[in-house]
Amino acid sequence: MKQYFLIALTLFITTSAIAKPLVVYSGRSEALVGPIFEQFEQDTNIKLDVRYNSSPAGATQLLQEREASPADVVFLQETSYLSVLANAGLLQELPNSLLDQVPEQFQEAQGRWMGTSARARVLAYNTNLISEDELPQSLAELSDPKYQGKLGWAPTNASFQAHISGLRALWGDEATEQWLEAMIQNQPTAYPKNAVQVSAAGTGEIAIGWVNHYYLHRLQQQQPDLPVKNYSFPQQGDAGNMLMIVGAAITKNTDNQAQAEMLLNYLVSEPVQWRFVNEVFEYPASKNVATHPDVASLDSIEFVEIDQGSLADIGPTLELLKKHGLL
Amino acid sequence: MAYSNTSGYAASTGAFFVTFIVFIPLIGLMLGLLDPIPNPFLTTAPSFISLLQQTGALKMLFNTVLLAGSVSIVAVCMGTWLAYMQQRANYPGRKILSLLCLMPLAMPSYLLAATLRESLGPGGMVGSPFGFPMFTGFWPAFMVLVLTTVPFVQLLVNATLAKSSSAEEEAARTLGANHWQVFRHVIMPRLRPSFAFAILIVQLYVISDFGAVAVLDYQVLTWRLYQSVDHQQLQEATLFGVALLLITLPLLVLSRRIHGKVPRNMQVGNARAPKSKKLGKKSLILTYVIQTFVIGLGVFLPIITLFVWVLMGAKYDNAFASLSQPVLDSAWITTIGALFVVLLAFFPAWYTARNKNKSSWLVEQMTYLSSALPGVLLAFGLILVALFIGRYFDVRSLYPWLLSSGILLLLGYAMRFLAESYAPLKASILMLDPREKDSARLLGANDWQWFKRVALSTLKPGVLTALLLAALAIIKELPVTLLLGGAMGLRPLSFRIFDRYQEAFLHDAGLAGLVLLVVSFTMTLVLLRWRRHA
Repeated sequence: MKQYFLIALTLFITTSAIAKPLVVYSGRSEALVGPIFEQFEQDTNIKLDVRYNSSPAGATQLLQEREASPADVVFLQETSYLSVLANAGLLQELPNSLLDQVPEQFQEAQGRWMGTSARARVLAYNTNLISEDELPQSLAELSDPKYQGKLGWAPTNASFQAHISGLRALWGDEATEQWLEAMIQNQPTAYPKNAVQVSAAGTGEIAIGWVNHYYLHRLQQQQPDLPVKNYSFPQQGDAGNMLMIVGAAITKNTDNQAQAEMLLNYLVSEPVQWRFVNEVFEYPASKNVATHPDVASLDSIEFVEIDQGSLADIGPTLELLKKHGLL
Repeated sequence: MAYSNTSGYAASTGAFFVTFIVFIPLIGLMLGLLDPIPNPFLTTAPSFISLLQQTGALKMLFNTVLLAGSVSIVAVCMGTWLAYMQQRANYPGRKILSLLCLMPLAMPSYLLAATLRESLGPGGMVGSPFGFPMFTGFWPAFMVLVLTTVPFVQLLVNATLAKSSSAEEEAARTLGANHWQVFRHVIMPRLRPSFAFAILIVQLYVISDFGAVAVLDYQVLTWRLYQSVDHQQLQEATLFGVALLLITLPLLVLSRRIHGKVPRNMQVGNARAPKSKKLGKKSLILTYVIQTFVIGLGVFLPIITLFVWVLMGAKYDNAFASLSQPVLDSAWITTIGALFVVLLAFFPAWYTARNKNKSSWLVEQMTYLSSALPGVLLAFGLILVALFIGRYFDVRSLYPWLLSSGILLLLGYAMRFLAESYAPLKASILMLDPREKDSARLLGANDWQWFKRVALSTLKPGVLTALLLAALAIIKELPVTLLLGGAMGLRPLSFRIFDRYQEAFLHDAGLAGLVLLVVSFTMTLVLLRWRRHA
């Protein structure tokens, strides 16, 4: 019996050692990006080894492994975690040939990550339960007691947390905490995931969900008569109208530089950008691809201007959420 | 008779090696308690005391106990009644209904929870016309877990009843007692040890369940532990892990003590087949109600819902993701995993079958301990150990290697399902008659020939049952696969269903769910068949 065990073990070890595919730590779920990675493998004949995880878990794993990490490419849901990795010295500066393909907004200040697509933070509301003119004019107003018992949110979601970090940068810690306390008074239903939250808005479990814009469009693909609409705040530059960038980066000690660059290049190439826009309903990072017709155009939303680097200040945000029992 | 040969030596060494494995995740947890792993994004490390208040760990503990307690009572009552009816009564449809009631055994709890949440919740095909409220929290979790555990109880009690004579029952009936009175005053007292054992087994199952509480978002320890690991709050996760351990251990100790008291044979006087009696109206209605509940909500509604998801996807031209990788990955982990589990279980099985002393008793208890621990806890403990090894020995490459080599995943499966394979293996080893070996030697056969011609045929049914039990458990398994398989890039069917459900790609979840069910139903039917012939 022992021999068999040893044989199995050796087999396992050798098979894992022989092939050296390009290792990707993906904070984006397989449902969203799996098909794109498969297409890349077919198109380029480069074998990928994608490790799906949550963005914080993927980032932490890299922080723990540091130079020993097998990761070549990091593809995360939130640039906040990419900036943390960049500040820890684990990401390399990307060549201009890559950076130049995306608008300036999609480049990290020192070029250590690049945006590959973006989502807008919105309210998703049930059109049977609440009309558009009853919705708040600004995010600050969402904490008004008249919305008590009607709201949903997802405090464990990385986009939610990045938005809170953004609010701290815009409003300051004290004002953000006061607003959060008022929100908690409204007793929002907490959801573990955003997709579930938008479904809940559709079934009427909640009237208003605070989410990223793209879940709705994906759900409507499956249920065209879902009575839910997205809503952006009408006020110019309102803190609620925040653009959340999805980004990718190459690790400093990759032993697969050329292939890693090819993958990043692939992610911002037109065919893939088209897929992000038409299959995932995101905003493109490429100037040459137009937003999906069902999705509100970027020009129609009065986005707030925010330094993406400020979203990397994750610690105090987590502490704030923990203090109020949200995590 | 000499067993202290080389094979005996190998078995005892192996048995203690396997026993030691059980301690690995526990060591990880202890280290995590003594030397908390800081959240890399936080500047300050909170104390465990402040975490205890902040995280509401006590509330989680309360929720877990509440769920386990209530599910166990209801499931054991329902399961016992069903087993009693199956054994002692005669009514139209008894055989097929009793069999269908066992089918939720093949249903992973996350799949059951997801389909029921979508169909019974607001907007669902049943929930919408009836105006049912949100299908999340305590009551839905209670319902789903009752559905999953009733078949366990039915099987367990069935086995006890099948072995006992019905003489007393018939005497009671001659004296004018109806079915309910016989059940209450004759069967129940006699079944009390199995009854208590079943309650504890169900409680251990509920405490370790991850799938149902995750999908239905009921804040219990396993679900919070998983979320904490997912968000890298490892210190919180340690706290939840210790709490889980603290409630699991006493239940396990108690269940092992009671297990010794479950009578092996309850024949009073001459054994004879119990006579089946026609059921009274009330008993009949009660039986049909319970069976409709278990079969309707535990089997039919989930399957119909999965079909609806797939059909809706086809109707709206949603692109279906290819199933080749999930199917391949499932086949791969199920095969390797089951072989590994059975291989490891063989050592304690051989050792305890061949020795009856304090150490064999200990080996058996440790085997059951490892499988009573929740999968989330085992996986987290293994992750912690890998982290600490990397840290203390300052070999950073060791941690990623341990994670991606698959060793942790295999260990996780082995621990989680050791007991399931151990029981049938031990039973078949006990059937090996050592005198046959002596006879074989006398006839000039060597050890290998004895093994091939005699032992193998005796062991074969037990080994096959053990393999199939482990395979069924692994293909349905979720938390260990998510936490340890994800890190090595594995994406089997269970991962596909959970991932797509969470991202609201119901058509993909539905298709993967149907494929998984075809496999797990087949495995379950084969197992039930073997069981009947055994």
